[in-house]
Amino acid sequence: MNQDWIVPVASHMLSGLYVTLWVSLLTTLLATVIGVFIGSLSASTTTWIQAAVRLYIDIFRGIPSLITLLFVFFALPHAGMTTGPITASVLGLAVWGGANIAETARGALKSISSRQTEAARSLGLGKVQAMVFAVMPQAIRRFLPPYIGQLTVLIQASALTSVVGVTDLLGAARQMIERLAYVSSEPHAVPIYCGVLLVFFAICYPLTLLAGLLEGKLRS
Amino acid sequence: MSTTFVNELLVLLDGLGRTLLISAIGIAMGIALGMLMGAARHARMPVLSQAIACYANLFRCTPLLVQVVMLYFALPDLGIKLTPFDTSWLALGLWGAAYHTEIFRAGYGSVNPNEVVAARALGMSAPRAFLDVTLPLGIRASIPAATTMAITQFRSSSFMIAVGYQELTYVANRMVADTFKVFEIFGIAALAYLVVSNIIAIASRKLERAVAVPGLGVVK
Repeated sequence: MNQDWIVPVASHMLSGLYVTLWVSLLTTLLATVIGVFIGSLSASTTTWIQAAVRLYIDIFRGIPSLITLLFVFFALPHAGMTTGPITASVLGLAVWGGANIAETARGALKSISSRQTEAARSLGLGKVQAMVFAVMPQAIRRFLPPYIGQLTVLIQASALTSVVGVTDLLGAARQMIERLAYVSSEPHAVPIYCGVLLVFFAICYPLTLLAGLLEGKLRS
Repeated sequence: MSTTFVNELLVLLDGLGRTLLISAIGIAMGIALGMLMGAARHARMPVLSQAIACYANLFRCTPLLVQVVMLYFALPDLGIKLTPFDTSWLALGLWGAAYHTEIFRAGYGSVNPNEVVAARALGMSAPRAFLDVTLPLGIRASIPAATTMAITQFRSSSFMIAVGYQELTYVANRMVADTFKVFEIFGIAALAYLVVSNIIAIASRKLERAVAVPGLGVVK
């Protein structure tokens, strides 16, 4: 069997992997900022803030990531903003992922007894100070295991960018399969897609192991 | 209401019907396989248990979208041709089963071991004790987590856009590309996903209450 196709295919897929990693990184960072900020807001005692946080979390956790991605992809140019599909994907996935991370953060903060806040407040700390210096350091241990789980979800969701035409790892794989179909009668889809699976597995499996490890530590 | 709007609603409704169909089959398959494979994992059956763990890890650590694309575009190279419809429910079922396996395994594991000891002391064989004690109690304990996963499967049915199955996201995306009514169309689609997600959640809570064993699992 002819093996000449492997090197050009691998190099093209490597550039796709670069896009996948870049999208994953930006999405993760943005979603984390949104999620932690909104999750912290849920500790607010103001009713309308609580209601707004609840609404954001419930809406975006209830709809498919692909719908938010497609919405942002079509809505941004509609609103007069010309952005590439990568920017639209990152924004769409981050708004969606942010809701999941916010829910995780909310649960972690809620699990810390309100007496901790009261104690910190009685020692003279302000509302925000009590949150940042007393509650958050305790909550982060409960936050981390499910948060890492959310990261694997977001990394996997980066493959959705191929739906709006981004040449990520999956998009690159698809292009190479189509190109090879012209020049060769041998089928290549199985090994190429297996390569894509393997790359995602190599990224996500260690993360799930880490999440499991942290969770085990928490229980003990 | 203009007739075009009514027509658009009908097309979306048609898409929702297909979404519900593949989701229902995928969820049923995922739960059924999950119960079986979870039991094998719980019983620590040699070889089988490890094989199932590998299966679950592989499907959970790779994107569903890649799995869908692979089933549809790579399997024909091995002589297996699937229609978009068959690909859709099969992918949802196989992917969901990986998660449901871990959910039911944890559910069976949460049953108080003393219950099983008592059943064995009454003369039940190990399989009998599993079927009559661990299984009914474990399934009850798994309902909340299995529901969350079922809703995730339902939302992820939108990924079937990648193989051209005309479910809700596919028809909505097509319609937006044609009409540029970004907010209306995606708004309605998002609402439909939200409504169905909530119906599943409410039904599950009703079910959980209906099958609850009096006095069991009640804290204090």
